[in-house]
Amino acid sequence: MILLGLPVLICLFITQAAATAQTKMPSPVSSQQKAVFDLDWDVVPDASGYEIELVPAVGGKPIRSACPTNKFSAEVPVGIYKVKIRSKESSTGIYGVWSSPIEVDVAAKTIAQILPKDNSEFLTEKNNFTSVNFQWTPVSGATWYLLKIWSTDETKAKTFKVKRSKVSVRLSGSKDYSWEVTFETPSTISYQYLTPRRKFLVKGPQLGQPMLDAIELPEVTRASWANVAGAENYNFKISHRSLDETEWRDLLNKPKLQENKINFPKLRPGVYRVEVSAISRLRQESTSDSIEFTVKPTREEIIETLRLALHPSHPLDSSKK
Amino acid sequence: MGVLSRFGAAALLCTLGLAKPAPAPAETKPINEAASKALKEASLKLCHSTDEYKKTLQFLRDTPDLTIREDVARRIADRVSKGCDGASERFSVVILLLKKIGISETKAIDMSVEVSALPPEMQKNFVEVFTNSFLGEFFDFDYSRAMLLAFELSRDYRGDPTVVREDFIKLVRFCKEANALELPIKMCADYMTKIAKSSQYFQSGVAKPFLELFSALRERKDLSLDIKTSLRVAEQVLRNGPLGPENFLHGYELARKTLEFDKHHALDFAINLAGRSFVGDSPPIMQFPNGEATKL
Repeated sequence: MILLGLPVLICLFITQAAATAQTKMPSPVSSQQKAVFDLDWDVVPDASGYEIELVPAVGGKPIRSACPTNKFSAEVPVGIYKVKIRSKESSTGIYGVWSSPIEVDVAAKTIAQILPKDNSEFLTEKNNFTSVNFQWTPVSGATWYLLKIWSTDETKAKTFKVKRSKVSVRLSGSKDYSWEVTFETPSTISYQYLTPRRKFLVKGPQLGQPMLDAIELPEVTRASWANVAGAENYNFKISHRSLDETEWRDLLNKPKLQENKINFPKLRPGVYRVEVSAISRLRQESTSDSIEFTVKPTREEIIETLRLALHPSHPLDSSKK
Repeated sequence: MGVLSRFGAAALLCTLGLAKPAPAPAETKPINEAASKALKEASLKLCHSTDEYKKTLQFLRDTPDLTIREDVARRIADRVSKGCDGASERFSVVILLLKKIGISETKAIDMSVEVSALPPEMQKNFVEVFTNSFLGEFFDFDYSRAMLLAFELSRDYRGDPTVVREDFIKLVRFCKEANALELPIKMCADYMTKIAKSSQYFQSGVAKPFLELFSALRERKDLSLDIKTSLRVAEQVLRNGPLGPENFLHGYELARKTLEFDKHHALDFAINLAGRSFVGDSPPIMQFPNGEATKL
């Protein structure tokens, strides 16, 4: 039996492996999360192939693989492994002795999405487009990043291959979007994404302003307005102030009204401002239309108030009978 | 028709038994008129201040629409009691009116205390003029304008308050009727408020001279002015006092018949002459004996 030279591990290409290898307590191999493990070593003369074995430090099934060349690349569960290699003699096809094991921490190559934040919203400009800035954490050793953007009305993603870890993309409005980013290493086989797709919304052009119908005085109990194309709901508000004051107080706030009209209890005398704006999830809120008006009592109401308050037992007071 | 005159007695307060009605005219003349007058003047200066305090405090405590703390209510009662007899009732009517139309409680209290210190006739003027000016059924002025006019024809008015009140009611009625003749009530109201202020120059008020002059401007064959021009000319003439209408009409006649002016120039000529119906800053004001407002 010919004893071939022991292969010498010369390159471990595992992002962040160096840092995480310092961990004192070995972490269990995770079956959930995987990372690509790249390894190459010195060529052994007369070797027709190699065998590599990765033994999880904390339980788990060893991974053993035959390698025709002095390179190994495979996706394995992240965790700490004892790695050893042996060569196969070309003439006999018999494997030699195992190399001394080295401890390797196979960590995931993480790439974290920074911008846009999940469920964020953007507003388009007048041309119904806007620039959205995408940014993610740079990955050591990554040569390209692949940014994929899906919109709700398109089945196929738009893909952008960029070198930097940020890019600005022009997107059209009135759509929901989701995105993810992956990367490539020089070998072109090392890529992964570890975070779920993130979502964001690009709101379309501003909705048209609703036009309030005239308020019918003196007994104001309803407001209505013309429907606005594209509007899903309306935000409605009534503010009140005394005749002699300037400060408005919210009296009635009805967000997301479904109809283009609303009934409310009779307004007592004072100054009122009615405001309505059109809203839609995919469009920018319209400007508000507003009407200010003064509710005045009638002569009869004043007389009645004075009569009841100043002379409650007056014979004319029918409510006492 | 005015709010206070709705019940025929020309005063809501009297109608509801909330204020003492004016004393009935004496059937026989007192033997000693001078002594009677002196007694009357003396009694006007005597006040049941404690009663006024008690009534005001009770009203503030018992009225559910008012949310006034006890210490504040006492301070208000104290101020109102300085207004002499009837001040509590004047205060109560005005604060209820102002609250009802939508004024803040703080402002309503301040104004009511101020108005409660006015003589009864002036307070009636305030209520009558304000309601007729402000309510949508009448002049429909905004709050500030109605309040300004109400004070002009009550607290700040130097003529007889009863006369100007009656004038104002008649002028409001005129506008309501003119509205039926397609004269916009806002326009009419603008002229009437100016004309009402001229009431102080006329012994028996301005309403009658206005109606007579307006009728002449509209119906006399040599004039036959349209409604708007008639209102404008009437206001320009009446502001010159009791001799204004006479000078205007005679001047117009002179211009047309003797000077042979055309209608347009005759009108200008007559208005100019009417403007010379008095000397000084304004025509003499018909003095109202008790016209001075009581000051707090």
